[in-house]
Order: sequence, then structure tokens, then C-alpha cells
Amino acid sequence: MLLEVKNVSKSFGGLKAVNGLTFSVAEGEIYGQIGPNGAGKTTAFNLITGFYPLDEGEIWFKGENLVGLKPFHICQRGICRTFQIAKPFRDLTVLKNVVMAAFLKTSSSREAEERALAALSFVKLLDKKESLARSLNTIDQRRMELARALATEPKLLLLDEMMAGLNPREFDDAIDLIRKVRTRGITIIVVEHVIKAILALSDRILVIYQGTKLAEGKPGEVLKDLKVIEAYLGKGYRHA
Amino acid sequence: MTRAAQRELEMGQKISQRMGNPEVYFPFVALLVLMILPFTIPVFFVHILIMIFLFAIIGSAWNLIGGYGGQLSLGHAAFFGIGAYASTMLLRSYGLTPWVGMFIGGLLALVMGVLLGVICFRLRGPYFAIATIGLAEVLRLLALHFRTWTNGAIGLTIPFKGNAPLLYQFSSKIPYYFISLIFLILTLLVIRRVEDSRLGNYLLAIGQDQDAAEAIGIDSAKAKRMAYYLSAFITAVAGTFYAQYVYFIEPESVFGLGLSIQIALVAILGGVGKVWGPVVGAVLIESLTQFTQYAFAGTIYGLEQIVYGSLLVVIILVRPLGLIQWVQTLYHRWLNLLPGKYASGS
Repeated sequence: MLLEVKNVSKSFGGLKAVNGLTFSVAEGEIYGQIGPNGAGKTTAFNLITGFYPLDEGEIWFKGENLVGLKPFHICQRGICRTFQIAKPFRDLTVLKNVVMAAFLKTSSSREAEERALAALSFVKLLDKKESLARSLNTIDQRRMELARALATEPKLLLLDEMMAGLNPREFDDAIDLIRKVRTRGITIIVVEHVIKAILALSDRILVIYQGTKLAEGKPGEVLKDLKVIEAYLGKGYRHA
Repeated sequence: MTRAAQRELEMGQKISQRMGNPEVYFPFVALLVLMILPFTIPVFFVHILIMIFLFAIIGSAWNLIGGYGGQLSLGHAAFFGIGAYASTMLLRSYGLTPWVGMFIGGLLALVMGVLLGVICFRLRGPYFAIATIGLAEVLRLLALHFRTWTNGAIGLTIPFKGNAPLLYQFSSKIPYYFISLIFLILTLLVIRRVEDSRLGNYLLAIGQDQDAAEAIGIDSAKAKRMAYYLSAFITAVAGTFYAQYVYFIEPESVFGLGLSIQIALVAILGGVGKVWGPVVGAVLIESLTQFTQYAFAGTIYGLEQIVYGSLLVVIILVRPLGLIQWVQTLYHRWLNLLPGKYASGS
């Protein structure tokens, strides 16, 4: 297993945002995470990438325990993420945004720029490389975040709500793009609200509810699971 | 014609072509003017230029951490004071030439930067700024307190030895002018080097969004520390220069909050995160100070400071990102007026 999350918990005040969560992701798969609002999906991301310290549990990546490492350590080890609310370097150009990430693997400015251009070309954003990041629309911001993440040459990519706010056409483009990322040998975890996206992408799904695992398995099977339907829609919709 | 001779000719043409570009030759012309200038203008103006160079140097040092790194330091006087006091005390007690004391001061400032970094870089935004103010104030109070070494509020004078280049002392202002000019050029070269490097890029990223920077593998604490050390060292060396130039230091003038703010202002008014920003800011602030003094001092008490302050407010309102962009536009327009081929791309 590439990533093993073992019995991880995190509380904020009295709220157990993540409660004994366990799952593992194999190399090369696209692993989907769904769950109602506040289920703990983004918190799980923040724990894996070191943005929050965890209260309990262990996170193993390629045989190394990540607990206690800082976000940049974790990125240096090959896990990179995007944010639910995109975090561009607003006053810098698109190219510069990606160059920053490419510097992780080289100290030469020229080489960093070459790698950044390759990543921008991969996400089809090359024509906007000189635009300021703050001038981009939603889909292009997501593309840029993806390019930035790819420029760090990750083994494992964590995509947090990439699809939110996209129109149907952009949605299809984004799905294609993520599939293309996988063909580069990058393992992916996607957190999505949009069930359609998860179904289209994932090899396996994890349903998180109130901070714990509710169900896990192949997309088709999991969504037929009564518990899942209840968690999403309430008991009255058992026959939905 | 042999092949070698032909190549030489082509090279010569290339060089002369490049030298025909105002963008290439104008800086040399400007440098030449700066070399001749001090011999042709009154001493008072030489003094103003020296102060402009000095503040351009410290403003540039501040720009590394405050501009590129986006960490508002309001305690840079700490490093300036360390440089000024270290070299002066070493000179007075051990007769050590400030040419050496300058580097010792720089290294001490660097050590202080390590300590401040450990304390301050855990803090973000306004909390960082407050911590830097606090630490500079602590140093000022220490300098006031340890009277046996620092003479407290009375300050330290530099023993006057006449024209003694080996002791960093000159009877004319002109050597000081050239020392500060060379020092400024070196500083700008260093900043430009940093700007192009990985460190410079990382600082820019951190200044924009520290979380996003960490998410792409940037060790923000380390990048800020590196910038801080470099900034501290340059500022301290400038502190030694100041002490040797004015022959007198006291806690308020070299450790005071006023100086810290002035340093930050130079960079902010000029334009943060740009190599030439602090230079523009230093020209502006120094000429503004001198002009308001000249025009209003001796009329109504304090009027010159009111006018100075109001002008600063107006400038920051009109050019919130600093004057540098406007100056750059003017500069390109000026290059277009000069003879030679110049394509103003950007």
C-alpha cells in the first residue's frame, strides 16, 4: 500500500471531526472520498498533508510514518494537495506560480521554468502563462493549482473539491484531466461533493460520515448501501 | 579574412550593437555622472547623496525580508545599532579598525538574527511586526543601561584621528560618498542575485500565501531565516558606515523605533519586492526631508514635520504600491528619447 491511514482522530474543541478513521490507498489507483457536509473529508486531507497535527493514529507513506512532519516535509516526500478554496499566489503570473513549485526538484531557475512550462502545457494553460493569477476564472485557477501540484512531481496527489463550481463542459474537461494525471503514474485521492464526479473517476470509494468510515468499496456497490443512502438523505429515502 | 578574424569582427559588431542600445549604455553613463558629481557640487549636496545611498542600502536589506518575504519588520534598527556599536566599541577599547569591526558587527547582527528568527518567525502578520519592535527596544534599553560600556544616553564619539583611511576616517566627505556608492552597488547586485534565485522566488511565494507555499514543499521558516540573516548582515555593515560617517552614536539614533520605521518607509514608499524600489524610496524620503526643512523650518514650530508627514500620506494614497512603477515608466520613456535603438517591450 502506498498510503495507510490507521485509526486517525482529530478533535476541534468538543467536536470529533475525524474519529478513528482507517483506510489505505494502493499505488496507481484513484481513490474517492465522499460524505455529507462536515463529515471530515477536508480534515482528513489536512491531517495527511500535515496542516493539522493529529490527536491519535498513524499515517504511513511508502513505509514512513508521517506523523509530526510539517506540510513542506510531506510535500518533499511526494504528497501534494490542492485546496478546496484555491490558494493562488495572487499577484504573481501563472507561470511564476508554477515555477515556485518546480523549484522543489531543481535549484536552477531555467530548469524550474522549463518544468513549469511543461506542467502548464499538460493542464492546457500555456496561453495564459503571463496572466496574473488573480485574473483567472474558477476552472483556470483549478488548472493552475493542478499544474502547481504536478510541478512538485508528486507520487500521491490529493485533490480537494476540484469540481465545485464548474459548468458541465468544464466538468468533463476536469474529469479527463484527472484521468490523464493518473496515466503519468500518479496515485490520486479525490474528495468530492459531486457524486457524479466520484463515480466517473474512482476505482474505490470511501464514504465518511461523522468522522468515521461508513462504507468502502467499488463505487456501484457502495452507493447501493442502505447506510450510505440514509446518511445522505435521511431514513425516509431508504427506497430511493 | 581568416575565420578567427571574422569571428572577432562579428563579436565587435555585436558588442557595438548592444552598446548602441540606451538600455545598455545609459547605466554606464549614469555611473560616470555619479563618479564626477561629488567633485562638482557643494558639500551639503554630497551629504544628501550619502544619506540617500545609506538609506537605499538599509531599505534594500529590509526589502529582502519585508518586501520579498512579506514579513513586516519594524525592528531593523536592532541590526543597524549592533553594527554601529560593535565597530565603535571595538575601535575605542581595542583600537580595532572599523574595516574589520564592520564584519564583526555584521556577524553579531547575524547571530542576533538567529535569535530573533527563533522567536519571531513563529508569529505571523502584525504579531511578527510587534515582536520585532519589542526586540529592537530591548536592545535600545540595554544600550542605555550598560553605561560602563556604552556611555548610556550620552552616546559614544569616535576618536577623531584626522585623515586615516586605515581607520575608516576621512577628512573629506568624498571618500564616504564613494564607499557608500560602492556598497550600494554591491547590495543591489546581491539583491538581484537573490531575486533570480530559488530563495528569492520562495520569499515571493511566502509573501503571497504561506500555506500555499508550504503545500508545494517550501520550507517557509528556512527561507525567511536565510533572508533575515542576509538582511541583518547588510544592515549592520551600514550601521558601521553610519558611525564612521557621523562620528557619534547614541541609543536613540541607532536603535530607535523612528529609525526602524524610516527603514521600512523607504522600501514601502519606493515599492516593495522590487530591486530598485528602496533606491527610489530613499531618493524620495531624503529629498522630501531636506526640502521641507529648507522651506519650512524656522517659520512655525514643527511645520516642516507636518508638511513632510502630509506629503507622505498623499504619496501613499496616490501610489499605494510605491513609486517604482511610475519611475520605471518614466525611465523607459527617457530611454526612448536617447539616441540608439531601444525597443521598450515592457
